[in-house]
Amino acid sequence: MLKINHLSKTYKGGKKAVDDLSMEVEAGDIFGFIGPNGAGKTTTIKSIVGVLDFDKGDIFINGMSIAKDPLECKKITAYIPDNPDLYEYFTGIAYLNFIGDIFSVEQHEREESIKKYAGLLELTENLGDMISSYSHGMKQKLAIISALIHKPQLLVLDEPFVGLDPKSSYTLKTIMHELCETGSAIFFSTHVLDVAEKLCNKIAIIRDGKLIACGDTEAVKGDGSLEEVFLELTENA
Amino acid sequence: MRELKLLLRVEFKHILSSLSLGGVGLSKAMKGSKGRGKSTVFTAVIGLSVVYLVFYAVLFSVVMAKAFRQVDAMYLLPALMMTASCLMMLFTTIYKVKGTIFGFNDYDLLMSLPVKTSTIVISRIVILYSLNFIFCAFLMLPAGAVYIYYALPDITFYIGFILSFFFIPFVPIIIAAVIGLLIHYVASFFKRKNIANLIITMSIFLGVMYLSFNAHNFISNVVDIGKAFMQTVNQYYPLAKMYTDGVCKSDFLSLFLFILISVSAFAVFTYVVGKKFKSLNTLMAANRTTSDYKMTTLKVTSPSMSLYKRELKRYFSSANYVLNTGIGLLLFTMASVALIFMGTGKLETILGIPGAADIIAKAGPIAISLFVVLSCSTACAISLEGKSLWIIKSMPLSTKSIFLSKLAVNLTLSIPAILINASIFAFMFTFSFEQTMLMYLVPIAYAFFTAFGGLAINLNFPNFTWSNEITVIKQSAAVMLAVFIGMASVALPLVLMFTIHSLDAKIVTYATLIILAAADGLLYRYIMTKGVKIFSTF
Repeated sequence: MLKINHLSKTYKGGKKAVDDLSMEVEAGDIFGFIGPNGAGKTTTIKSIVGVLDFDKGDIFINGMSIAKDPLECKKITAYIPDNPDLYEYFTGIAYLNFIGDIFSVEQHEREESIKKYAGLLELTENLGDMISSYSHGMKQKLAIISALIHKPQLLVLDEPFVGLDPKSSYTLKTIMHELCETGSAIFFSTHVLDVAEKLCNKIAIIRDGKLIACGDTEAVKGDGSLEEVFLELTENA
Repeated sequence: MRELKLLLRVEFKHILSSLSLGGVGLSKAMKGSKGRGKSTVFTAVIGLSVVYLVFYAVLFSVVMAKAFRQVDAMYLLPALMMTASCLMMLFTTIYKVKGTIFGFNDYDLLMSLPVKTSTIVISRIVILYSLNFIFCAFLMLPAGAVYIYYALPDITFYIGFILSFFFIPFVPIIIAAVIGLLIHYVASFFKRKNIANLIITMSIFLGVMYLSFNAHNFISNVVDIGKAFMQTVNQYYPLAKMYTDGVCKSDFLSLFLFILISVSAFAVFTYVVGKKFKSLNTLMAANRTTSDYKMTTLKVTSPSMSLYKRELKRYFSSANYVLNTGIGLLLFTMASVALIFMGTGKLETILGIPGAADIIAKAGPIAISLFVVLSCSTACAISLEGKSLWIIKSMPLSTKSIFLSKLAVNLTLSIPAILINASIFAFMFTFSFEQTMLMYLVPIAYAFFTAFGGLAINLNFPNFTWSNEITVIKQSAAVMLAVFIGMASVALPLVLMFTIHSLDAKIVTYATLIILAAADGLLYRYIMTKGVKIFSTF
C-alpha cells in the first residue's frame, strides 16, 4: 500500500531531516512510526501525503508515485496532522461537506459516514457550531471524521491521540482496527509507546532521519518492552 | 519598567517581522542572496510609499493653503489636517483594537508570566499609540511645514504645534477602542460573529460617508467645503476647535485645555482598560454555540465549485479582508449612486478630487480603474491559508484549481461592479459607443491585471506564520507591493495624458489596454507555470 524508497529531504540551511529512508506498509497494517523529537517523523509523513516536496527517492501509494501522480495518490489517502488547524470560518458540518465535495463522495455515503463517526466520537450536536468555537480535542475529532469520509485506503496520522479524551482515544483505536480489517493501511507517528506496542502490528524507529529499526512489533521489541528497545536504540545508535 | 521594556521590544520586533518576505522576516531575508534581491524591492516600495504619502500630504496642504490664504483663513489648515489625521487614526484603529489591546494571540502566554497586568496593559496601549503616532506624523509634519511657509507664524505657533503634536492621537484611539469593542460586543451575540462584525462595520462606514457628504452639502468651492467641514467637526469634536484656537490663534488656555482633556481622557481610558482587561479579553474570546445540530440532507457540489465557495466564505468571514480589499469597489459604487442623484457636476465633491469630472471625461476608462486596482484580494489569498495550508495541499486538487478559485473571487467582486458602475458613468457622461466600450474593457483588463498580479506577488512574498490575519491583510510586503504597482499602473498613463498635451487621450487609452492585455496573458502564464512550482515548495 505504501512504499518509501530511499527518501531524503534536506531543509534550507542544510539540515538533513530524512536520510535515505526506505520502508513498506502493507494493506491491513497498523504501522507505528516512532522516534525522538526532531528525528524526521513529521517530514516523512508530510512527504507521504504530498504536503512537502522531497529531494531524493520516491514514495508509492498503491503503486502510484506521489511525485508523478499526486492527485491519484491523494484520492485514496487521508491525513491528520499533529495540530488540526482547520477552517475556523466553517461550521463543523460545512467543513465535512466541503471535504466530501472535494473527494466527490456520494451524498448518501457521506451522510452515513458523518452520522456514524460523529456519533462514535460524540460530536454530532456540535457540528452546527463554528469551528472557531471548538476546543483542541473537538477539532481533532472533526479532523478524524473528515479523514474517514472517503474511506481512505491509506490513513496517515501524526500524533493522533494528542488532545483526545480517553473514550475518544479508545474509539479511534477501534476505528483504526475496523479500517484495517477492510483492507486499508494505517501509518501513524506517536510518542506514546504503550499505545504503539499494543496497537501496531509493525513498528519503525527513526533517529536523525535514518531508520534504525523496522519490522513486526514482536520482532522489533524482542524480549523487552518497546520502551526499553526505543531508549536503547535511540541512545546508542 | 524592565518588564515593560522587554514586552515592548518583543512586540516591536514582532511588528517588524510581520513585514515579512517569504515568511522569514525582514532581517533574516536580507541575509540570503535571493532574499537580498527581494528586500531591495521591498525597501524600494516602502521608500516610495513614504515619499508618496509625504508628497500627497504636502500637495494637499499646499492646495488648501493657497485657497485658505485668499480668504484669510489660513488657521484652518492645521485644524483640517489634524482632523484628517484624527479620522484616519479613528478608522484604522477600529480594526486594530482586536489584536492589539484585546484578543491578541499571546494573551494566555503573557497573562501567565510573572508580570503585572498593568504593565501588559500599558505595553499594549503604547504599541497602539506608537502606530497611530506614525500616521499622525505623516500628515501633520508636512502640513505644519506648509503652514509655516505660507503663514510665517510667530514663535507661539511652534510651541503650540510641537506641544500638542504628541497628544493628537489620544482621543481618536479612545473613540476607536470604544467603537471597536462595541462592534465585537454586539457581534458576539451572533453565531456567525465575523459576518455580524462585517455588517456592523460596513454600516458605520457607510453612515459616516453619508454624514460626511451631507456635511459638505455639496458645495463646489474648496474653501467653503473646508469651512463647512470644520464647522461640522467643531460641533461634534470640540477638541478640534481648541486645537485651532490654541495652535493657530495663540490661545494658550485652549491649548492647555486640549492637552489636559486629551491626557485626562487617556489616563481614564488606561485605568478602565486595566481594570476590565481580563473581562474584556474574555468577552473577545467568547463564541456563541448552540450545540443542538441534527443530521440533515447535505447539498453536494462539484470540487471546483466547492473550492470557489470556500474561497468566498473565507473572504466574507473577515471584516478586515472585505474592508481592505473592497473599499475601492465600494467607493466606485457610492460614486455611481451619487452620480445618478447629483449629476456629473458634483463628482468633484463626492470623490474629493479637484477636477474629477474633467478627468473622467478625458480619461474615464483609466481613471475609474483606480477603484479596481485598490480591490486586490489575491495579494494575501495565499498567505491567508496560514497554518491550514496542509488541507488544500493534502487534497486531490491541482494547484491550478486552487489558484483559479482565488482569482475567481477577486474577479467576482470586481467584474460585476465594473459592468454596473461603468454603465452608469457612461450614461451620465453621455459617452459614445466607443468610449462606453472602453469604459468596460480597460477596467476589466485592470481587474485581471490586479487579480493575476496580486497572486503572483503573494506567491513570491508569502507569510504563513501570522498569528493575526491583519498582519497579512494590511501590513504584508505582498499587499503593499500589489497596491503600489496597481496604483502606479493607473497613475502612469494618467500622468502621460495630462502632462504631454500632444498625446491623444484615446491613443494612450488604447495603448494602455493593449499593454494590460499582454501583461495579463504573461502573468497568467507565469502563475500557472512558475507559480505552481513555487506553491509546491510551501
